[in-house]
Amino acid sequence: MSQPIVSIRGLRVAFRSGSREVEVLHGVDMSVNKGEILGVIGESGSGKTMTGLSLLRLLPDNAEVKAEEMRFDGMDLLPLSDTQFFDLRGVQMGMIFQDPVGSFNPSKRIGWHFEHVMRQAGVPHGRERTIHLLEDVGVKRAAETVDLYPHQLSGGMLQRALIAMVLALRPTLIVADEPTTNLDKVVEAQILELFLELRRKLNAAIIFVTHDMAVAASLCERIVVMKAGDVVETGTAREVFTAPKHSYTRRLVDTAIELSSPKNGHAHRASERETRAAANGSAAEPLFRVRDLSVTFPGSRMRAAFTALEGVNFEIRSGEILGLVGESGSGKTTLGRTLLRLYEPATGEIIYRDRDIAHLPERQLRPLRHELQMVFQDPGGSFNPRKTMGASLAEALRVVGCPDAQVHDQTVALLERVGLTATHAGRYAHELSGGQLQRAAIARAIALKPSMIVADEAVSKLDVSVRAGILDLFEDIQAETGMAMVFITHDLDAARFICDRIAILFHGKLLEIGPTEQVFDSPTHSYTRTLLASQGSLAKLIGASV
Amino acid sequence: MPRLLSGFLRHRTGAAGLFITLFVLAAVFIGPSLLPFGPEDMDFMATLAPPSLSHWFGTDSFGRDVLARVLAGGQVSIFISAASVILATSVGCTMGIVAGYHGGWADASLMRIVDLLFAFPAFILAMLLMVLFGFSTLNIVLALALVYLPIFARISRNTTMLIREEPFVQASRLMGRRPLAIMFTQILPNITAPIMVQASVALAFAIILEAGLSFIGLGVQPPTPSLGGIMADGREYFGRAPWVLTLSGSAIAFALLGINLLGDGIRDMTDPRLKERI
Repeated sequence: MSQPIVSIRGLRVAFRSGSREVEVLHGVDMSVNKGEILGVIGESGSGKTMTGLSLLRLLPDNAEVKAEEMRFDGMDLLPLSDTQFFDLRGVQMGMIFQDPVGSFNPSKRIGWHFEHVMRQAGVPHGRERTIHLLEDVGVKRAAETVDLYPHQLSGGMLQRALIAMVLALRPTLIVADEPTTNLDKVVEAQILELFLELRRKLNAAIIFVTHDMAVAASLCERIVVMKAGDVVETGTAREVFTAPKHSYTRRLVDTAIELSSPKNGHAHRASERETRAAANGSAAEPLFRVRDLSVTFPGSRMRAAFTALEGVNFEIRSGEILGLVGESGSGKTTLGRTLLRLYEPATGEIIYRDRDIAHLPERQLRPLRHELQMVFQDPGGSFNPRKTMGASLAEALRVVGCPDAQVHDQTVALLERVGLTATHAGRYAHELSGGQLQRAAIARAIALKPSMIVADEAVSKLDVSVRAGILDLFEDIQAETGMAMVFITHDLDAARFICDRIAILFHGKLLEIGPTEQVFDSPTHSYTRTLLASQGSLAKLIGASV
Repeated sequence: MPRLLSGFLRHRTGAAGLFITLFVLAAVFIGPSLLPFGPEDMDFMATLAPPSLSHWFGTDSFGRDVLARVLAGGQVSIFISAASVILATSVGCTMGIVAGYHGGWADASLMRIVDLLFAFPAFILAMLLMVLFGFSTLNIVLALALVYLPIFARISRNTTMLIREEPFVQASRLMGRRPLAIMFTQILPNITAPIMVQASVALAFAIILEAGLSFIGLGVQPPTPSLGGIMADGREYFGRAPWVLTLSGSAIAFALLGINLLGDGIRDMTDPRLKERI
């Protein structure tokens, strides 16, 4: 094996805050060979991004970096001054970030960025060259794209443009930090393909930071697993995924596989629900009946009105989990919010319990509100930052007329029901983790005794290891209370794991709706097939490589 | 609260601002009782006397102790500006939150009123209002409040619009809570930081504006001592007794320095991004 292009030994990073110093990396070792893709996986807070940033010297001023060794291409990086390092970064070391939008200057055209970067690096530049580069990464109509501004491109296109820019400099090392996390599955597959091509063309080493096991398994040759600032395991992708040595790695892999396997005990639960429904005698009557629903957002002088949903028809039965699946921009979130009447539809009917609520004014809607609840995507924003969890839950309990004397006991009972403890009642949102916040958000929703909960991408911002726990909680609570649930997600694994029925949305239209197994096993629409094909589930990937 | 205070004391300029402001408040409210002269006491044997051990700031043309008058004027000035800022904050924020939360015509009409007030330069508007309302302490408070109301309305409207779509506000709406309850329990606590900062800035400006109005004779009427009045007097005798104008002016500058540093401190303490670096 050749000499590694990057070798890091004993990397420690600490942040100063006032007189305190917090160490976030406790001696990280890793090395990458030429032409190798090294996956760095771990959950949020594991220090995987920090490692990449400290290699590129992009940490903020209050960070202190210490290392026993940090070599790049035979060169010792530690004694280099910032000016010397500047010549290296962006030229021999390329970087691609999670958020492509932030990597571009919003007031400059795409072409300007290419000119700027290429001139600085002293490589041949010019309009023709830029167009050629964009075409190389699969940008259609590249000649037009050069003259567009960043906000006129989609996330996927911008990420392509960024990769093209890195490609132009022909770096020997590329650090990519979650480059596909903000992208849709179909686009993600294309971008990953692009990375493989990048490696083939440049023979560059790639450090690929990701939290997505399936992405890591499909792309990387070697894997570094990080946890809380330490490397817990290093090995080839096959070793790490099929025979994980460290218990933490095993848990990560197991959770990912569990999530991607079809709903276990599904048939059993379904029959259980039928008996319950029959007992209630409400099997025939759906909770929601949506007829010909269209939602438009008004345009302004600058833009035309935007039709987010068009002629959507479906029903929600009481006590079922209905998945709304689609890519970003498909209208799934709009649909969820319109059901809750956070948006008013342009046309159509939303019949909830024999009453059309589509155009009900806010005042008449208010008494109904608590019956329809929502769990939001962003756990951090779900709670008032100035209130404790207890205060937020108490607010919900008072709305449904819980007597003051019982509020405390009820709060504790709710917290315990969702797997938290009474001590969490005194905490503020920033003192809880994403998973704990999402549990508290579920507690707040069930405090109001709703007949339906809309969960909008409720697990997509959570780490893999807590995701399964939250999905299980949703399932338990749903089974226990018998309420209906609308589960909005772009994650097919999560949808398959939890949903009884699935509706596929695309560009504001509902393409198909049916029982989960039916949609997954015999999709009727060609788009659904494309979507399903893009899904690289870890179980499948490992199964293929074993 | 103790944590906020200890953070404040570590923030050097903020701590300096806090101490200056406290010193000024103590001087203005306790000082007069320690001085041997009242603000109205005349001593015709010592008119326009230069600063000395008995008269630290000298005396004016009636032989009145300038320090005593500055402190008494400061008391009036602080009362007027504090009252007007409190009034401007409460009315402005209510307008801003309602406009920002409801949007639509409520936003359009409330903000047009604000735009109208914004269109006048502060001092011209204050002069105009004083002439319209007539001279009285209450009217000065009302005029100053109207001058500073638009800033608070604007800030609270913009911050409200930013957090209106936050999940926790939506969650409260989904509980079926009334708009007014949402505005007070969910939105208001989360927009206090920028408003506090603006209030401290507005307080400093209100002191200047009040002094300016009194200086040209449109503010507090004699014989009530006022900072602007003292300076206007001092201007007449500036050749013979420069200390009247310069020392009373310096006293105002010192107080404003304290309030502005305090405002900087509040801004840095309440902005979590800046807080990290301190």
